[in-house]
Amino acid sequence: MIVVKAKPLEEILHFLLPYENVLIAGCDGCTHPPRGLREATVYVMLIEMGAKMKGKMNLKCKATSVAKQCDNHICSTTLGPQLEGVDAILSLACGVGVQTLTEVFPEIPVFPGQNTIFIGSQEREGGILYEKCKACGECLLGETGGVCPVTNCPKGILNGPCGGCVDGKCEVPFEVRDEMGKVVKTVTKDCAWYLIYQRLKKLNRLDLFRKYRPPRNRAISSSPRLSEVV
Amino acid sequence: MIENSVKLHSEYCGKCLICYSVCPFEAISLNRETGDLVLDIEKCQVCGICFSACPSSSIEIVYYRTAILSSYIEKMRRDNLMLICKGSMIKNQVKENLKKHGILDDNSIQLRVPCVGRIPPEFLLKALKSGVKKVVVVPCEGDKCRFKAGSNVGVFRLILLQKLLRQLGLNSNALSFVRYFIRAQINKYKCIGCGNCAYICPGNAIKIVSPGVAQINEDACLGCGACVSVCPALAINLEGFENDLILETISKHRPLINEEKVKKKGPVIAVFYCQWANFPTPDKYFTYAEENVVFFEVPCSSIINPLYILRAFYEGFDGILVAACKKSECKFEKGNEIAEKHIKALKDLLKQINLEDRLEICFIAPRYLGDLNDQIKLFIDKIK
Repeated sequence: MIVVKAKPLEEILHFLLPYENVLIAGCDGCTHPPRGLREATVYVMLIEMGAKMKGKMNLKCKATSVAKQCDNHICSTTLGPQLEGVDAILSLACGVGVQTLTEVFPEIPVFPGQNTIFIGSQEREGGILYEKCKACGECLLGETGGVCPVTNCPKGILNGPCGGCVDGKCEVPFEVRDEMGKVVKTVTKDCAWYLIYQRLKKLNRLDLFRKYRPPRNRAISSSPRLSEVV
Repeated sequence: MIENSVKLHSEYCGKCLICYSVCPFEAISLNRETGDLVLDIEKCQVCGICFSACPSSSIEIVYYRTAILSSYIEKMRRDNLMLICKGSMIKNQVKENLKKHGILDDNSIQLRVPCVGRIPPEFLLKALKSGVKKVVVVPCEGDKCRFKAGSNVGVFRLILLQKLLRQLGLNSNALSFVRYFIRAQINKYKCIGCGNCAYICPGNAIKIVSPGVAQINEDACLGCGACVSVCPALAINLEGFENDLILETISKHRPLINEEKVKKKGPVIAVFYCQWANFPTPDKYFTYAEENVVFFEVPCSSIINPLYILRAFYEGFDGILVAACKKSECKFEKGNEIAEKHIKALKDLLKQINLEDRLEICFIAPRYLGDLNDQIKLFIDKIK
């Protein structure tokens, strides 16, 4: 899923204070933590209360949710009929959703309610979200026993491990940040190449570990990228 | 000094050991030397099974005193009495069935008690004597009882009582019971398949089936409502405690908050309490009686989600207190921990609009009298 982090309310209020009727659009798609109708309703109340504290009494919000904000057809059919009198939209989707809404409704300003961080997964027990995929465009996972060195290794090296692998742990501390960008805690993670070795050993495929991999073709992953539906 | 709500009066005690044997939490122990029965209040969950089993009335529980309940029923003067366990409820289907048989109508008293195992048989007989024509008891399903044995003990007593009525040549139909239990219900058209509910469910009753819809196993559902609080799409509702119903109840207090009379009493507080952490009585004798405190009962503190709390702030409450059960005493394993986590996360959010001091969570137990009242007083002093 696409991992997002809520923006500070201060910043959202800064966007919205010049407007009077704001539509808060949640996304039921792949954002994590999920930002559906409940979150949108919560934001309605938070923003209205926050605006009142700042002295703006006539900011009215309403909540709605879209199945997938990255789909322009779904957006125009479900959001279109709800836009009467709305002079700004706050999107609770990833950056893709914000841009899709901007393209579909060019006359209404659309603001992001959160920062999009990465493509990742959540470890449910600890509640930490890990980045898992960099969308590099040439998937290596078949050769590395299902562990991605491009994402999990800070250096992204394809022929590892490097000298920073101590007792199977990476020397780089992984930082968990709050919404203000401050480091809340640091986590030590296993070295990606140590994991790959262990995994390939288990699968009895150490021949893959010994294989030399030439540098990646960076042209594939340079933005902006396009793709076609075949 | 904190007073206990359960007391053993050894002067009347006949030392029959029935309470010792029925206590589901092993809170009553026998002192081998003196032969006295000793109550370990720390273990007691105030289910009242011992109270209703005691033949010499030497156990005293301050909540739901039978004398108060009896006088309440006499005062109401209705034809039917429904005794509903807090963990159970009257499902729509059951309700219609009861209506068809003329048992449930507007002419019935609905009494919610913490456990049907605490109701002594003489209370039911007294009710029948005082003019009630039919008594329907709605206990939880046997294995779902929050107090382990309460439901089964209660039903066993009812059956015995029915037999007794029949032997006496009276109408045994006057006494009946329907077993039911609160469950969560998922609206599959609203579900977005995020999997939050499946992870948090303490009974492992929910699983996500393809294509991305949560499915609930009704037999395994404990009825706590933890899934309701984590659902981002408002797709899950707990029977009898639907989201819309709770939000509507909160909104209903808006005119009250703005009344001058109430405002004079101090800050207006909303208290969300777990129904197993505090037992109010019908006469409200032991609950905080000031008008500026409004109580909302929830089936477990884990159901309390940002939506309820923000709605309460939005409607104008000055402060919100959440009362959960004490550590390791949750009737659903970890409901209070879930609630604590939610409140902590919400406080971080509220910090951004300077409201974080207005929200507090406290941990209480019904075995200490006035525990909630003290917490409310502390909280009011804090936010003044």
